[in-house]
Amino acid sequence: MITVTNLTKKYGKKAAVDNISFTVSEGEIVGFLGPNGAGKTTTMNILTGYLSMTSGCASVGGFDILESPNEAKSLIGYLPEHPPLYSDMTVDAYLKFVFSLKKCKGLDMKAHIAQICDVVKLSDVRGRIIGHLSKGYQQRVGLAQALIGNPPVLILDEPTVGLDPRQIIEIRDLIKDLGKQRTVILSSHILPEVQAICGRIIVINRGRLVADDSAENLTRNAGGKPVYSVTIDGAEGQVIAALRGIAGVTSVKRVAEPEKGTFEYLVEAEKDTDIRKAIFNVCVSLGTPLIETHPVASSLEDVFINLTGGSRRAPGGKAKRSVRKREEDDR
Amino acid sequence: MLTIFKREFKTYFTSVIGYVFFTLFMIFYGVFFYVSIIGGEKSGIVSSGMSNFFGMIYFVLVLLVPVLTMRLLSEERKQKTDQLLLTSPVGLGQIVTGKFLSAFAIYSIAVGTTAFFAIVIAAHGKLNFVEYIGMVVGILLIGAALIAVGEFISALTESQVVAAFATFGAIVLTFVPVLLSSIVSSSLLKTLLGLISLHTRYTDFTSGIFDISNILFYISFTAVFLFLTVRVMERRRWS
Repeated sequence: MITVTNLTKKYGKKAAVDNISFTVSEGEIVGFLGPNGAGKTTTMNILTGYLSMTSGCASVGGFDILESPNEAKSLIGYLPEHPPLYSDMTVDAYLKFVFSLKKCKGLDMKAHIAQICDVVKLSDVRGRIIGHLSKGYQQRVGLAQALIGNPPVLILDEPTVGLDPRQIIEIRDLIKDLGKQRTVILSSHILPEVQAICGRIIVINRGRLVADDSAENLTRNAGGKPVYSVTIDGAEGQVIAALRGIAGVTSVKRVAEPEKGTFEYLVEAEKDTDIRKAIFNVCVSLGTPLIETHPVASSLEDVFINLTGGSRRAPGGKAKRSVRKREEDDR
Repeated sequence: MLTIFKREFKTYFTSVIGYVFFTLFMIFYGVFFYVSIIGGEKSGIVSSGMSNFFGMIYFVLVLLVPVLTMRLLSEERKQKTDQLLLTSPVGLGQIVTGKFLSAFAIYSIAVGTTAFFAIVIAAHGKLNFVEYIGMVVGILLIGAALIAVGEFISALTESQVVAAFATFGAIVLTFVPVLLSSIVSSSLLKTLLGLISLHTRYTDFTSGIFDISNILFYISFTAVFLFLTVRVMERRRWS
């Protein structure tokens, strides 16, 4: 459905997208993953015909985006990073405008718009001015705009940005639902999101494609080591020694003392080993109560950081991680 | 194209711009109307009032063009709504033309109100109908040319204010050949300046001369700037 070959986009000398190739077949939901500024948006802008590439080619549904732009564009519903909304129009007037802009033939305008508003839960605000709506509603109007004309391909650039957690879940479910009959590309820098929605993940970093696989394969092949945060009430030296003694444990580090006499450790184990039971048994044999234990990071996160060249064990890495986790929870 | 035109036309009235344009226009309209009719009557020459009136209306309309064109494309870029237009199955030419026509439609409505003036003259004096039509056509054509320039400038920037001032500057510049030709002595230079001037040709219309070359001049001037606008937008995609 979508074919991208040796796509390169240069701004001056800097390559925003550097020789990327991939294909997306019909009915797939593909996630573009990468840190900010990796080239996700640029790639999407090229695919939708907003920007032109420096070299390479892109086609949608067999239509080259440069040679038959109108045919290709009419197959795509695009939600850009900033939803392209006219803030002085009402939701209804805006969607009608988009409807006639996209030249939707064979669809009844009123019924079609009503149906889309129903799907994205906009029906209550159809008469309101877009500029007066909250960010979450504006994002939905943007999504509604992309859905008009029932395009077989949906390209969504960070569709859940600015939404509250409940809306995020709603939109994710909606995208999954839409993906049943459509080809969807969505971008995100939030790993759990991509993991939750997409069957396939394309990781982009600094304009290059660094991985293109399913979430399971990515974790299996390039996967990181499992790390657990363990909080134990007991003398530090004794506990560390005992934890180190567990088969498969590669490192133990004390990171905090949340309560007096209780310490939190980061325990890293070898790949594909489960040390949770062993940790419990050690605590039992030492007679030190195990207060809490949980895996620190999803292993896909490690893959991502490995692939995009970050360092996970950087000084203060733990703190950074928890900040990021909190950010994700906030989203 | 019609879709773009309709939306743009409505925007003049959902935003403050259309009202600003018409308010300013109406204020000047009233003042000039009074000055040329009542003033003309006092001096005993009512029919000469018409060319006075049109001369003044002409200046006002020309100087109000930036109000109409400043946000045409700059605002789209700023609000990122150009992403919607450019990723829709609509050609750039249609977008640029649709927007041009909407501004031109507003301008034409303003010009159309001069019919009221013509009616008053016809009722109370002698209306030179050919002269009147000539003036209207001339004002419409020069308006089209300047709106195209304004749209072109609006495509160059993201800021409405910059677009407005630059367009205003460009319009003032179009009077330079007129001013120059009044001070140069060489008749060759005078003719040359007359040829490139947007305004010298207008005087032909006011004397009721429909010269096809003048009409073609304005139309091609408009077309060139619309084409340049398309090129600017096209180029941005590639840069």
